[in-house]
Amino acid sequence: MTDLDLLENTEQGNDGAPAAVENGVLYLGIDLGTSRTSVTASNGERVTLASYVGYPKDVVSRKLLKKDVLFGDEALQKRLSLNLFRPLSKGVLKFSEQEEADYEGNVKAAKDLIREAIRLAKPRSDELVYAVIGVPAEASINNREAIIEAARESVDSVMLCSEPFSVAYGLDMLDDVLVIDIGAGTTDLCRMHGTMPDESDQLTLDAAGDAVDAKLEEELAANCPEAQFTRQMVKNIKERFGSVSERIDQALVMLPVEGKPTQFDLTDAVRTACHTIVPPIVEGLGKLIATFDPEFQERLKGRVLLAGGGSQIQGLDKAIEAEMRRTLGSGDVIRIEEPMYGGANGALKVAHDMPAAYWESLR
Amino acid sequence: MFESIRPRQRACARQAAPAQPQPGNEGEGKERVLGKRARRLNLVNQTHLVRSIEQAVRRGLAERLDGVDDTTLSEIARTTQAELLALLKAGAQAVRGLSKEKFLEEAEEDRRRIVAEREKASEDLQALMDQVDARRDEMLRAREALEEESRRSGDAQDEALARRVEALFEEDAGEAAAEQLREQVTTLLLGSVQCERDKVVAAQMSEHRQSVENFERRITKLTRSLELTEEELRRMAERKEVDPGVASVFRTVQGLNADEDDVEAKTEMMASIFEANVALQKHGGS
Repeated sequence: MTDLDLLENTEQGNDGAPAAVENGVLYLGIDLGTSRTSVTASNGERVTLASYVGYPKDVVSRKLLKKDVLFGDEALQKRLSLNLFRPLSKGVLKFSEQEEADYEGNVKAAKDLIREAIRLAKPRSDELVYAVIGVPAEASINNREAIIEAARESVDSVMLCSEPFSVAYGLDMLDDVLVIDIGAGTTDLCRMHGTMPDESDQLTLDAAGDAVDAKLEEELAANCPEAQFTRQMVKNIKERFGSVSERIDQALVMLPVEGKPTQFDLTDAVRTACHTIVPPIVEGLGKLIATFDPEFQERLKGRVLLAGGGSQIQGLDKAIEAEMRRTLGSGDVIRIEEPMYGGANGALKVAHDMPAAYWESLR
Repeated sequence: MFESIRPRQRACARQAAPAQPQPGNEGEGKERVLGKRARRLNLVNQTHLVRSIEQAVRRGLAERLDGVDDTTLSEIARTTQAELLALLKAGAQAVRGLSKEKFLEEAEEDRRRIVAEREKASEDLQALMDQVDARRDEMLRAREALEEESRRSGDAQDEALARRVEALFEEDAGEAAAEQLREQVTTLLLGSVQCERDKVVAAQMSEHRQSVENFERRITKLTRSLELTEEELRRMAERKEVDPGVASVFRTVQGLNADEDDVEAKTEMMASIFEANVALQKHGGS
């Protein structure tokens, strides 16, 4: 007899309906991303913050900042006075493979980041907190354990589920759908066909937001060798002008040249960098389509969901459609309404739909 | 006349005018509230500052440039005034100033608010504890009733079962070995039936136990929150705020609605996610 059988025997009443459970529980859906962490809560709160955690470098900066730890954009703004951590890499905790030099710092940063995200969701002090956290489709077991360990200090019960699955589940699109979830570290592809997707239904690619930043940095170095810039400036340029459309507003950007602000036209560089993720994504979609029941392949191509923070690049849906038509014959891409919260909303729906006894057995 | 305010001093200025020795306990009380590092600040409003500078410019020019007519002087004064106002606006930083009375009034309000929060938390805690007690009593009564019911029905069932087993063996009553065998089988059967009955009682009790555990965990959290509120009261001077949070709008676990689309598929999906997490967390715990 499995854990599941035992629970089903004790949880359900005579009529088989799920048993009602006491109140006092706050449910959270968390999208723990490399670039941003988004939380949707059952009290109606929704928050998103940049996945940065900073600790004052010394006593002087601590006195000046009047805080022991800073998060998100505030940490980024004051990064010169801080030891800054971005605890997630490619959607998983850097420390989990224990290869990162300062993995203890990343452990602490990850725990603090989760705690802060939960605090921002304003749980009442007497409420139990049950959370579903979305993780990349192909996160290793070590990665998953590391995320659970980091979350345990802040929640009363926690479950993980695949990020692209939670996006589809949140939109109630469970049948014959392909999900593209573009994050900063990874792009997750998932094939939904009415049952729980397994490993063969999911792919994780490196072609994501950070890859676009790296490419844009290369383009800038090649085309504007005299300009001075940092990776964060490059990221800001991408977020402001990111587009793969043929018709695009000019990306005129001021960058310092030997200390003097100088205007550069980065339109082509931005478009080239943003377009680099399109071919690998469509190649991945092609793999998932080719291994699907041939009878339903056309339907699958006509139901492609585009989600995640990285999907906000202008014209990306059309560019993927065009590439699908070129390589796969057809394609229809639907951009979800709230790319920043798609994963968190879906995770919250999973949290609600999960029977109470399951939650309690994982406490 | 005008003093720039550094961050630490700004915090003091926000709260009240500085500590000056006062007769009786008042000065002592103020020093306690403001801290010994409070500094006296002379406050000058913008109009007075601009007028003073304008007059100073007029006087200076009149002294240095003999024979300058009043129109030119007025023009220079107007230009100076406009420039000064623009500079002040550009470099200004909003500072909230409070009189001592207002500050003390606000501090008192904050104290009252936090005390009210503490009382509310205490009431919540008491209510939860009452619920736990009630639930425990209910659980005990339910257990007794279940055990009694089980014993009563069990006795009759045991008797019937024993009679049937004996009837089976009476057919070979002549053999000595059969007698011994009969006793062994009867004991074994009765033990097995009792064991099954205990399992049923345990399963029925588990829901009550989970409910009590839930209450206990919430009490622990609330107690921690109460301790925080007490700590906040102690740190009133720092004027930190306690956020009571926002309650979940879902008063019970919804679970899957039987009328929902794809309910069977979703039920299976929830079970798969749960099993994967059980395996993961067992693996992590081992």
